[in-house]
Amino acid sequence: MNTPDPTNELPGTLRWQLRALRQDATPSHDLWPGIATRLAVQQPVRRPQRWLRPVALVASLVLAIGTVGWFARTNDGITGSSNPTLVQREAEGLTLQYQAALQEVQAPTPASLKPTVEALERDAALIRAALARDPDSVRLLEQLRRTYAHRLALAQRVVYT
Amino acid sequence: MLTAVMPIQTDSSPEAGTDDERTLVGAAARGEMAAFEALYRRHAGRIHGVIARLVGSHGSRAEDLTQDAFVRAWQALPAFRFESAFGTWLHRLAVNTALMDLRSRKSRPQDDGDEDAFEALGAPDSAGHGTALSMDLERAVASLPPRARAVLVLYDVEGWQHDEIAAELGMAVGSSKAQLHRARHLLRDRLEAHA
Repeated sequence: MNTPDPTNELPGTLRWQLRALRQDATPSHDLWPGIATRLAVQQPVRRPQRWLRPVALVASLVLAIGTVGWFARTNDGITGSSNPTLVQREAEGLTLQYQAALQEVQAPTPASLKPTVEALERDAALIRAALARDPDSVRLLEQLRRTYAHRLALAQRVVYT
Repeated sequence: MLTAVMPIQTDSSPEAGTDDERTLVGAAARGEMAAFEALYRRHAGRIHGVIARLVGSHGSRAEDLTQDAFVRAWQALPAFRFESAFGTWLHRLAVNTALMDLRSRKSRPQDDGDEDAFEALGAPDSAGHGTALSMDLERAVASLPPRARAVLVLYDVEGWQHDEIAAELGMAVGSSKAQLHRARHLLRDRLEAHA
């Protein structure tokens, strides 16, 4: 509410007449063509949608996992006896990236997807345990990659919906 | 007394805040120019009105600034989060555009009032006494010095508070009150001189 100023009050009629000036005014000509021309030469700064960030991260991780899997396959047989093995290092790297990506998504899992998610996480834990026993198994690394990719794809679907 | 005046509805557009408007705003924010044109058609009159009142003219300057306001709105739309109605946001952006122009002209010595508008006061109007009175008032407001006019328009016509005006014009609240005082005196003097 405006504060009254007793030393400088407007007569009531004038006050209402001033308020009545608040009216639309039509420009003398259509301004749109000029505006459209100016917009055409400049694209507005578009921020990426917030939900795209985790999705992009998931997509890049799936690609990275695939690349790592390919790298491990092509290097199969040339790994030395050092501990941990190349496959184990790749598996550890994959797991860290997977966990980071999953944290980025952070969407609540719908009840309908919970059994699948739990099964995938159980599978991933079993595969990691198997890799600890068989540290050079590219087949297990591949299985881990597929499991993580599947889990992230589910997370991606939740984000989309 | 101004306190007796009903608060002004900041966003008088009947479509403001509707799903239709939100859809248009969303599409325009994604870069769809047709949606932005629909928003322009919907709001152009109101935006041009406030800009014309602030700059004291209905000529090409007000039209240029109306264009500027819509171009700025297009650029800023992706950051718009519906924290207010789109019409309210656009209205404030238009006011800001006009005031930026006013500030940029502040140093010009000849810009201390519109003498053409002052001279036109009391010109015969065949549409009737009421319209003539309104036109006189409009011309008298337009004839005020720019900063005094801006404060008077924002306070007495648009219904803003002194703190909002001070923030937008980059002045102290006391200066806003002083400008209003000056503007009202000048306005009354000019109206009485042509009564």
